[in-house]
Amino acid sequence: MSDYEHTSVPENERRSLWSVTSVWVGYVFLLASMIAGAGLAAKMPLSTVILVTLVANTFLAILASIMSMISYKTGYTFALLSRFSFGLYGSKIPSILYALIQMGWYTIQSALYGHLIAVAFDLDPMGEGIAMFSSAIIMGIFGIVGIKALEILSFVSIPAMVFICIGTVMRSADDAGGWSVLFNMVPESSIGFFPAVSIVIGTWVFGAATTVSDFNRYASSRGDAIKGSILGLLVVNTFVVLCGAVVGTAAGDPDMVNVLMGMGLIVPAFVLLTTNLWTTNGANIYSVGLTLSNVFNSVSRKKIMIVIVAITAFFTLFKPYELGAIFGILITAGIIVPPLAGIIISDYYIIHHGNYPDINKYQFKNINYNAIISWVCASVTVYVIDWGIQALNALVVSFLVYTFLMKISRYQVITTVEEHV
Amino acid sequence: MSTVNYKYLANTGMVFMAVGSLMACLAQQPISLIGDGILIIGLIISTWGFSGWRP
Repeated sequence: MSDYEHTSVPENERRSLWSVTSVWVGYVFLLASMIAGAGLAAKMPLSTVILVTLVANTFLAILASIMSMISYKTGYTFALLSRFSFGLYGSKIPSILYALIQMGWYTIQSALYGHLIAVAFDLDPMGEGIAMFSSAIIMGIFGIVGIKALEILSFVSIPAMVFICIGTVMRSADDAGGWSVLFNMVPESSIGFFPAVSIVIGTWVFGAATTVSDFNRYASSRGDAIKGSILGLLVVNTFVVLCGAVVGTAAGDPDMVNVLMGMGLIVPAFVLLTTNLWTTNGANIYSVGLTLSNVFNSVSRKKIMIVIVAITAFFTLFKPYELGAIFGILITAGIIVPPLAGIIISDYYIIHHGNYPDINKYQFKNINYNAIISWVCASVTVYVIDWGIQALNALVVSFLVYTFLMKISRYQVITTVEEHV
Repeated sequence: MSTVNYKYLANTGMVFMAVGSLMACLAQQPISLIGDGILIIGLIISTWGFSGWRP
């Protein structure tokens, strides 16, 4: 079955709200967000954490909704959307960078899952290697099969994660002496409101600006695309961050899997870890396959994905989760991806007045340097200006610079076939 | 099997997951061990159900 990596998703292949949202919600449901929530709870009262989380996720939901409306209207993946602003070959640059970052995270998470399996079953180094390699392969199978397999995985995993989180939060609150005790706890250190908002935004700005397009292009109405974005970020990410905050405050450990293990709840810990990593990593590698289909146009998505999964499985053997430098590189590189959304939003709404033509009826110029310059300006801004919410700063800069350059240059990235000849 | 039956399986699996998770997390042993079992059965049943029906 095609996953429409080179074309728009046709009307008869659009899916229900729950089908589209399940994959996106499964992707967003991540232990790292819980750890961020626990980190905030150590520095501010729980009531303030709730306010911070709502403000940050409202911003993320708005950004994801805007990107989702574009992908719903066009039916294109994020990589195809970037072709309209960056040009045919220009779009391959952000596509490759995006794919490398996502593959890095996929490798780390697969290796970490295999490592935890090895620890749980007391495996020797050879067994650990097999567990890490197998993790990458098994998670990759869901991405290779495509959106239907990811839907089934998410439909099963999301309720399991929600119920286990609720159970853990109730148990933690009870062990700590009740909810009133938790809300009256005074943190030992402190953090400002906006830096805290920035931390929560940082948990999913990458996905809200880019990956969301790959899933919500299947939405059957504009309302479903927006509802899906809001449900994933304003509802689920808020739930996840607050669960982490409560468990972190009550148990003094930001990692919910550790907390469950500490309580002797091995099976819930294992189920939570498995469902959490599999849904996120499956959707992650699926998005990489779609994106690289824009780079290697003549190769099928499945062949690309088989190669990607094999490469990442090989690199799990180097235990990348132990290499702090890798985390640093991925987080740094991740900051320069959200500005791409600013360029696409400007190109779609301002330059093309909210209407992209059929990708197969037009030719694309090779590179639009206006987009490259805007992206570089926004990325430099992130590193030079250490003020406010960096991802938002970069997004606004890329939006403004791109709009300005395109308006004064009147450059056309797409031409009709006749014009191109 | 008809779609309706798959739907029942999916929903029954979710109910099992809810009961199993809360028993496993909140109850003392040996009840929590029974909760573990119900949680795993719920996962299996709902996987079966969602393989043939999706909302």
